[in-house]
Amino acid sequence: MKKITAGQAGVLMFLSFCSSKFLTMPSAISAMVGRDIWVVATFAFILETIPIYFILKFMQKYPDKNLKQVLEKMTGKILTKIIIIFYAITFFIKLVILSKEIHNFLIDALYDRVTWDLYLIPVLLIMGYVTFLGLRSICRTSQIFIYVIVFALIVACSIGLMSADITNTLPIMQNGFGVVFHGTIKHLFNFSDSIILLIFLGNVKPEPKMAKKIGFGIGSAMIITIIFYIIFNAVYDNLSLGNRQGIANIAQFIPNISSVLRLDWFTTIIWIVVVLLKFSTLMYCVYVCLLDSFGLKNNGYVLIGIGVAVYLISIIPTLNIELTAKIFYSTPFTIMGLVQYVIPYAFSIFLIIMKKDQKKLKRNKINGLLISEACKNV
Amino acid sequence: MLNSKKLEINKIVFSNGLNNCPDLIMREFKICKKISACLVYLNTLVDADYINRDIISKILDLKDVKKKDIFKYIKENVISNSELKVVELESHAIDLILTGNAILLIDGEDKAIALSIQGWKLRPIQEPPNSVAIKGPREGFTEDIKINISLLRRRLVTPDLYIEEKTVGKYTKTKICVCYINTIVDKEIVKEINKKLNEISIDGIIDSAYIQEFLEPLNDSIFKQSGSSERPDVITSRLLEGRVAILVDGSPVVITIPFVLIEDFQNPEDYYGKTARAIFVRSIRFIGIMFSLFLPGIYVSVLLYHYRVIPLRLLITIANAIEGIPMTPVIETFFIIILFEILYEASLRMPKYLGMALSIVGGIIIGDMAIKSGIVSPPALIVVALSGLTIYTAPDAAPQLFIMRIGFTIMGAMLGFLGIVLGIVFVLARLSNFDSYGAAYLGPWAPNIPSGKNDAIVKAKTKNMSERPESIPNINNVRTE
Repeated sequence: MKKITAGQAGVLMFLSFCSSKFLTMPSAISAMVGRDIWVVATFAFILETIPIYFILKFMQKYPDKNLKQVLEKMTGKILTKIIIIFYAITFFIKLVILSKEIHNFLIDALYDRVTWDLYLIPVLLIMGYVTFLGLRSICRTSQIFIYVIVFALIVACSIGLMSADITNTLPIMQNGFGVVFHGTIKHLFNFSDSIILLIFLGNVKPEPKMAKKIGFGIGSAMIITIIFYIIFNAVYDNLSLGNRQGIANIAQFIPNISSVLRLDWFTTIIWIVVVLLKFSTLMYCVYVCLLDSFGLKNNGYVLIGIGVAVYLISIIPTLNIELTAKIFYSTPFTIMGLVQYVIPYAFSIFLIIMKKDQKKLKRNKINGLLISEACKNV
Repeated sequence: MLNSKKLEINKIVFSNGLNNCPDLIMREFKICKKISACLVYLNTLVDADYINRDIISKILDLKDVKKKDIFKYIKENVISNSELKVVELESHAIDLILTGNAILLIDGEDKAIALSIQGWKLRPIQEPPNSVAIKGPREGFTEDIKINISLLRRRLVTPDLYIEEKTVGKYTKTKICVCYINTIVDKEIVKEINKKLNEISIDGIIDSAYIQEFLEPLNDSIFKQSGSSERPDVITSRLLEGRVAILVDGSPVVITIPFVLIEDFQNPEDYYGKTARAIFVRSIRFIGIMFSLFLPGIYVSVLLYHYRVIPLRLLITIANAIEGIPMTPVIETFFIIILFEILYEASLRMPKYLGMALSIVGGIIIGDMAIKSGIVSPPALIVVALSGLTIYTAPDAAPQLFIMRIGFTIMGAMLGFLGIVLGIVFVLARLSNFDSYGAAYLGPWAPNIPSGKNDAIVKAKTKNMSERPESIPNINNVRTE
């Protein structure tokens, strides 16, 4: 497989982190915690930083080991299969949710009516093809768009700032820490994009500043998300709940030039690119997990299978946005959100074991050398 | 060895070998009044004056040379031709005759002397019509490979300019030269090109475009995978960046490999003027290409799906303009695109004196009347005309831009903005996955190559471009010491 550079990994992580967090999430979090959207995001990111640290540390130390190899060494073959299938399911659910989110985003921000049954087919075909081209291709495509995306984010935030009232974000944790904590745990599944990093294991070209570059991408995404949430809250306050498409809604606040030019269209179109890139990233994650768990090599049929499954689930008419939200905030999903971090945390233990093993190996080598020297002397 | 030492037999062999063609001349004469000799050539390819003045008359002037020494004597003392060769095989000799050489056969000798005396008419060195520059050199390549090499040699005064010669084409026996700067180029590229050239099996090479097809890694792609230019200054600068140039005899267009997309945005004049101007012009070119690609698609999708995107006053103006048009926006747009392309194609092929008439018919009568009669709307005409014109801000990329424009218009008509975005992602993902001879096609943007960005949309000053662009693999990165 063609490896990606640390810079590319950083860019893709940036996009993956930002994408869906700028759509329905601020409104959904607001429904639970009121004006403390950004506090929830901050807590979730703090929680996420620890596994990210371990994964990056591991990546830097063992750049050639992929997830399957690491898990086999840590847990054995059978458990590895189970864990990878768990991640495949996790990524698949994220993919289906994203497909639903894209649908809602298009209806809310761009179209009067979207026949998603028809629209989803070209989306799946093209993004499936992009996925089939590989991680390098997804990363390179992301690299081309990154400047425009950052520009769109700056535009959106600047437009929001024009009408923002910072007092709307105060007081912090008005409803108490419990509510914020509950909101954080409930949304952990949606925040947990760092697990995409697990798929990058063994696929990033080793370089001295690898961890820093990827970390920079993730860190910037976290900071920009928090800033965006603060602005969103400052603009909408109690109306946050009703503004379901963060990036599209916030960009409508441009008082003077809307009769000449509407900048919200620009940010909306750019955001379609972002979500599509995340769509293919998640598709790739599911694909790789399935290949690894069934011991397959590159196989287009697996991708077709994933596409068909996403399509069938996405077009179930009863699975509307309310039901999706209900399922999404149910206890199994909350548990799933927590469980997916178990492996990254286990990396820390594995790093210590590996370190001990290496020390032992080194000591044995030295002892062996000493013994052979002694034998020679005798 | 030749078939026989006897002149009569050799004459028959050559005559049969060249099928007694009408322009075959076998001029017989006696050397020192006793030894029979014959000069064989095609009078349509050689310089007749040179033959009379510098070969036949000089040989006829010979006196008192022994028969056994005659071949060596003529070779060393009589003929002043700088490209004299001794030929030992008939087949080789016939090939040489066909490329404008004269073969001197001497009775009793099993070898012949080949003299390079090509004398056909050549087009003089002129400014290439498709790449005119207001500032900068005005020379362009011609159809003669020797002149083209000399144009390069004059600019690259270094023994490191390597030229490898090949012959391709069963019937055309076209000379091809692979040129590169040995101390800069990545040898893997040269190896790969030579391998591909050696594998070519074709009856004839008429133009460098034939070779291009064999060298391009993706045969089904609409995108260019090799660069080309008629300007020696452009080819020289590309050689200095580590590319390989392929010159084909009979073609003024020189191919360069590897190719990266950014080359189509660059123009020789960018390097001969002020940097600020170059940056401005390149940005305009980039915006022009965006217009040409997306404008019809955006127009169609706005009218079909996203009319809310247009500010109210503009929306009313457009609504008034399209009111009563019998065609839907999609059909209307395609109708104008096809009409525009027909006019363009006709104006290219039409005799020059009819060109003026065509522009009147096309521009005024068809355009004006189509609007006045209510067949097409002014906004659609403006959109398509603007997009059609802006394609030529990057003329080298025009063929692929045209196809992509149609593709984006279809996607826009089918899915609106989502379709256009899907199309963009598809094209970029496909291109970003493609490496042309080790060079990333979308470099320096994907992957991100900082040194390459010095000469992308923004162009650094020449003195500040101290490194060769890493987008093109090379073995010597340093440009200025």
